[in-house]
Amino acid sequence: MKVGIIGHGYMGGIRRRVVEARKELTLSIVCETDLGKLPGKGQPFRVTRDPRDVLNSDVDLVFVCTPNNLIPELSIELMKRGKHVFAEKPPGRSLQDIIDIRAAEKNSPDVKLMFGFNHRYHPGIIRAKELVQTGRFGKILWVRGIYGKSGGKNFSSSWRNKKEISGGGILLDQGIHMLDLFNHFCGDFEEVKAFASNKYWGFELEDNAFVILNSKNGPSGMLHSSATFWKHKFKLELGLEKGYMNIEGLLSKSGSYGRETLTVGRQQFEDESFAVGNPSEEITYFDRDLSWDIEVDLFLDAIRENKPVVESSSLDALKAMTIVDKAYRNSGMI
Amino acid sequence: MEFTIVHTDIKASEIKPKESLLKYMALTEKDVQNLFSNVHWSTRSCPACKSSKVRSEFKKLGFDYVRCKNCYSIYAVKTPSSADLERYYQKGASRDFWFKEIGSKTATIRAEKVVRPLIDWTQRVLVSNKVKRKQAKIAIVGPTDSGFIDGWKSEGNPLNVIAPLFPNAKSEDKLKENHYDAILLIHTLDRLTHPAEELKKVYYALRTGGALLVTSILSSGLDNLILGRDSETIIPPDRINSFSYEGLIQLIEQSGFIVEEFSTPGELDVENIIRELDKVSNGSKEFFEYISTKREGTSLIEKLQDFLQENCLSSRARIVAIKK
Repeated sequence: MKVGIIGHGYMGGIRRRVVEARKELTLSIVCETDLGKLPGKGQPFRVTRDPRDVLNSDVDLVFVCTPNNLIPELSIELMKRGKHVFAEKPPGRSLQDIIDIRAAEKNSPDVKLMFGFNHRYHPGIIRAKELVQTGRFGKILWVRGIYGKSGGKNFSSSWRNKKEISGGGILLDQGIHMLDLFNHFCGDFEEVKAFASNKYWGFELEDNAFVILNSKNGPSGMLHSSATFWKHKFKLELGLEKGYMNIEGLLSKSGSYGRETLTVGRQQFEDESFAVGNPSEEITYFDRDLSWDIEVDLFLDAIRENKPVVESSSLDALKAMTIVDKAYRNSGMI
Repeated sequence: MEFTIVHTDIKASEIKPKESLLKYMALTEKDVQNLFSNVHWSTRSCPACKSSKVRSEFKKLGFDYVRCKNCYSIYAVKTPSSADLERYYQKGASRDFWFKEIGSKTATIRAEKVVRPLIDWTQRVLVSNKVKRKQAKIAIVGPTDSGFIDGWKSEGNPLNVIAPLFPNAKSEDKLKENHYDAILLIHTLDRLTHPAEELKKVYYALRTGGALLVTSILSSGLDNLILGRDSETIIPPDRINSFSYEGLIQLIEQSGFIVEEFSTPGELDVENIIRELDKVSNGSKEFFEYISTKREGTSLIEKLQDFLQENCLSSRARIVAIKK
């Protein structure tokens, strides 16, 4: 299969490495409008600064790794031209964007569409999901997530803090991963309440969001999404009927979120104070992150076998964006 | 390689009461004299890496243990035949004592702190390999007295075959080729004169992608390194092998498997050493004496045991390997 990439920044570079490692894929064309991020000369693929070159090319599938404002239009146009699309998250700037994308997807039944909700494929998350599926810990009662960074390199000048490009602040940019994980474990949440603020960075977009979720017949949830976390943190906690699971840390290139671990503990009913302080636990340490490969392999499987994309699908994107939209409305950000 | 550390707050006295253990060892010594005095003993090279370069380590209950200079495993360099060892398992007074005095009296705590984590682990491995529990084809090869089988079956989990530890024993069934989703060797490799041969059979019995689950003692674990002959984990003839971390990986991988997880979730190394402090040589003794007295009541011992687990330096191994 011939592959195109639109956007050769950080994520485009990652997708490129995954594509080039697969014999069944041929990277044919890479588009990047920023001169500083263009691939160097002498590449075995075409390099262009015009996305229309990718749209009009003969590639079979395209990775859309652009800022948020470009994702909907590019995804829709690519699908109209019969190309399979793997787009980064978030799927645009607003709930309406993903609604429009899904409408286009419906009109292009032969193409596959997947979004880069990559955290689902991290080893700690996969393992926790497997354990939940054994049923040995009962149902999930609640979830709690903290996902925080300090902003990032050149944060002040990043497109992520410009509303017309990004559509939202830290909650849309990074917190949406955690919301997707909440959905991944718990299903839908009907009620969403939120506070959002920009007390530190002073941009027009939030730098902290606190979101509380509830499902009437299912779990409740809570998320803190932050761009003022001076020690990067990823923590997802699951409270189940017969135990708990905590995924802490995230394997990444920089290692800034710490080593990825999964702690699993059981409910105990000895002396209550003893059990609360010192329950039996197992802590697994992971050292290999295959998430980038796993999600692309799932996408390729769907294309090869002409079967629906069931993970990180447009429906998953819609669910995540629905929560983001409700949170922004409830907090007054929109 | 991923690994897991375990906290069950288990105590050595809960699963191996000291007095019972001493009686067990005395009975074992008699069994060795009664059952093995007039039988042929064969010499082995390292059962892990096949090297013959060894140094003498210690003599215990009539068995000579050597340390492999290549992989650092410890093993009984001469052993009775498999058939003679089988007679020990069937007729040994010490085995009877183990079941009735130690095994049954500690059954409840073992079920909670030893067996249940094993069951959780096995179920998790099945899920990771996309095997539905009720349809899983699973075999366990080795001793049938670990409590795991009863615990596993009591949860309604399938167990297709219980293959015997020794080939001449009465067998319920034989391993089928290219058939199983998972095969468990729970403290089995420690007991075999030729573990590589058994692993080959297991390899062929697993389907491609099937999982091998192994538990074992480790000679590279702290209590074995410090206590040596006086370690409670090496009691012949029940434990004629104590592989090192490196030796065990080599043994498993040379049998065709890929090791995906290697944990040493033992919680008793430091406690075992402190229990036998009078047998610890000078140099190490002062350290353990200090931490067990002057730092008693702090979390130091727990943290030291965590360090051992995190760095695969505990004396218990738990391994998942896949047939590719």
